[in-house]
Amino acid sequence: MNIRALFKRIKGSYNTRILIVFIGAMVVLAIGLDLLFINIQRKTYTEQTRRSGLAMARLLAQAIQVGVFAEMASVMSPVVDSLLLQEDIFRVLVLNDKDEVILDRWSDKKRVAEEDDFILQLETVRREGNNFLARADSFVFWWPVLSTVSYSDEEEMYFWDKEPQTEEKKLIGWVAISSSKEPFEREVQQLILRTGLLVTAVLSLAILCTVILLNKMMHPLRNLVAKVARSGEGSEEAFSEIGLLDTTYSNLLESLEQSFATIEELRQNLEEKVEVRTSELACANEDLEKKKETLKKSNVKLEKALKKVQETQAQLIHSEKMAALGQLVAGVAHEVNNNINFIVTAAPALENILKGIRRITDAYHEAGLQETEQEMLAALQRAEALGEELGIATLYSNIDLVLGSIREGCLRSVKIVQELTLFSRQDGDCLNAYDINASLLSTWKFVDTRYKGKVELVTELGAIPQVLCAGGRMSQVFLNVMNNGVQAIGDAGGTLTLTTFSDREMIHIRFVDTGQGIAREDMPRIFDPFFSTKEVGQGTGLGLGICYKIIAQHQGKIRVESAVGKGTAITISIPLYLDDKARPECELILVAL
Amino acid sequence: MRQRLFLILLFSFLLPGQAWSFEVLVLQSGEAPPYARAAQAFSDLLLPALPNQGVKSIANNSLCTYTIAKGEKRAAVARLIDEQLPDLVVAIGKKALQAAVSSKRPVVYLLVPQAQALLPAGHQATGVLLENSLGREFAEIRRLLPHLKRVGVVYDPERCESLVSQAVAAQSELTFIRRPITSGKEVVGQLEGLKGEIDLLWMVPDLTAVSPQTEQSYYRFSLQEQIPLFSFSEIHLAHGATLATTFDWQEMGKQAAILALDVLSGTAPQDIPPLQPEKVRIRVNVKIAEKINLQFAVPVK
Repeated sequence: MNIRALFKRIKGSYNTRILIVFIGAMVVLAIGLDLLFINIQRKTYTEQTRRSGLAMARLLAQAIQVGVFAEMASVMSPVVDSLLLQEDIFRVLVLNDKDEVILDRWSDKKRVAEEDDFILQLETVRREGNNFLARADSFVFWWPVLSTVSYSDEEEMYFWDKEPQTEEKKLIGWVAISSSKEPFEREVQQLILRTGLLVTAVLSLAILCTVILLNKMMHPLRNLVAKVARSGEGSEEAFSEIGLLDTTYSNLLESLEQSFATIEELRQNLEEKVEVRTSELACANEDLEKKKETLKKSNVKLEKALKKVQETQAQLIHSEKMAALGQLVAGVAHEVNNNINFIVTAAPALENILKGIRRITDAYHEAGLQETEQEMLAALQRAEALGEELGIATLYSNIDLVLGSIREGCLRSVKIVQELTLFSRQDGDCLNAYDINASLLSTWKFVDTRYKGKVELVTELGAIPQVLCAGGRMSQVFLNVMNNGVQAIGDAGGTLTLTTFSDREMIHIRFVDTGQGIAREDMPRIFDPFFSTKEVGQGTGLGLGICYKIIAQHQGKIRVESAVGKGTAITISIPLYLDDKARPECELILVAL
Repeated sequence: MRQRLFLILLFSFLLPGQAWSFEVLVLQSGEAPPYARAAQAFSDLLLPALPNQGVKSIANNSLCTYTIAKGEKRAAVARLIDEQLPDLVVAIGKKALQAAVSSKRPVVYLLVPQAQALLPAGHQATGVLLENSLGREFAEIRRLLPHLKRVGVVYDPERCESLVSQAVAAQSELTFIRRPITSGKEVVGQLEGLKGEIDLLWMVPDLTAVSPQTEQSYYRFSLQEQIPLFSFSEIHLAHGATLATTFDWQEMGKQAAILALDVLSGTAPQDIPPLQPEKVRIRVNVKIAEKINLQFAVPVK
């Protein structure tokens, strides 16, 4: 095979071209990196040499500080001689603060003849501030010898430790360590050699791996080319890999163009569909707008209805108030009337008694006006006879009785008024310590008088503590519950039992009546506003609702147990201490037995 | 009569300043711990012991402390004293004494090295000396080291000739090998010359002979030659000295307070002789003593 054929084959073989480019790139990269690495290593090694040399010079300066201060070579010699034992160090030079040599030791006598330019070196060090000098065949490390400033007076010697003074230093001399460059250069050459070998080995390995990897990677492509070549016209030799790939690529491009045409067609169809869907959505939106308008109108109607309901509710509340007021007035009137009866009944009797007494008094008065003694005695006898006739002793005792009756009537009236004041006091939300037992008994007096007479009140009042609550509102609750109880008992008669007891957290008030009970289906609704089983005009159905609200404000509980035909038990529980942060809620338990 | 009584009372209140409470100014050379300890002991003893007199009971006796800052000029401190016009200046340290004696106020000094040399003619000062009796110090050392014969000392004759002479005069049983110098650079060489010649190296409070540069030579000499080093300051114990004179700073503060009471009661300071520290104490660095194989005749605490 000649070179032209080989070149043609390489040109036609994609595999070979990639391989050549890879290997070329790796070689260039490896050489570049190798040079860079060598350069970095050289700099690092130089820096390390500089640092270690300067550290050595610093240590030497510290160690011979006393010798430099005293300018005594004998003091410095042991340290300097030990330093010169190191292979690469061939000279140690010590100067005083006037740059005069106070010690100069060589380990390599051959070098003594070399040009001695330490003064120039020191000038360079001072000028450039760099203590490291890299000369043609040696390194020189310079370091100043510093000493702590002397004590300023005797006080410091006595009382001050010298540590605080260490910052103040004084230059008393210089040290210079000369080191041969040979070991350094030898080390650098070794470094280049080692790095070169390493890079060559790594590069060879990388090329081998690349060939194997590329061969593996190109295997499917070669198979493809072979298949294409077999299926295409002409012999396999007539096709190069690139030519085949070109043909295949052209075919793929045509297929791609066809695909794009198909996609364009689909896109146009999609646009049409989007337009259709958009118009449908617009229609749906119009419908929604119409519905929204309808809802708005409905809303206006509902608002009107609600307003009407609220007005009706207000009227009903007013009616309930008036009904309650009427009931209260009736109760009060009944009680007051009973008491006035005492006075009304006593008044005629008192009038008669007073008339009799006046007649007797007049008779005696008349006797006093007689002129003669006989006439006077006769008149007195008549007066006494009249007294006996009218029963003067009886009259006086009757006065006491009548006055007692009047006093009783007045006292009862006063009591009624006091209790009425207690009941009707508007406490609002003002909470006070309240005696529940006393409140229950006083409230009973205002219970519906139409039924109260047929109801026997049984009280089982326990020793309960006073509770913090709005007393007037609580009385309202008790009155409502008692009224319901006596009304449930009705004309049939029965008992209403009031029981109070307490535990650690709450006070419980239990009202048990022997009335007709609550129907199971009505039970869930008894606290609903406007719910009532009474005849029209007899109740508004707000009573228990108000009770619920008041007990909720006191964070209490209501438990209702009822059995039709047997009676109802309502237990109201009020917490001893109100939680300011708690919501005004009432726990309601309804049990239909 | 009432008018006369009023005038008498008014006159008594208008008496010159001496009739009011005492003002004592404590002047410290710096913030070294010994100064603070001595000043505290001084005030603790003085204030309760200082009585009120006459109308002074209206205002209490006062004690102010002023610490001289580093680099603060002596004249500025003296001006401060003149402005304050205290009844007594207590100078703690050399700088404080130098500033105090430049004013014309009575002075009690303490913790001042070689204080007597600093006092000008016609001074109004007394105080507590920082130097022990050298005889007592060396007697104490000889109690610890009975075989001690030769004592080496490197000193600048211009500074410490009298001190060394006092020691020579006080301890006739000891031989003092003197090495006079004129520069600190000579110390190392002179110490070299003392090798094998002495049983004890004495470091004297000499600014020429003792410096941060030369101290190392003393310590190294002591360790290399196995010779105890006796220093004037216990600070050197931590660095390598074997023996050192120590002072009870608080005790010195109390001594100064007693002197201050005398001065405030009207005695002229110059008529009160300065006091020496009551106790002589020698501290030993036991570790160094072990390193140099030093044996003591009495147990060392």
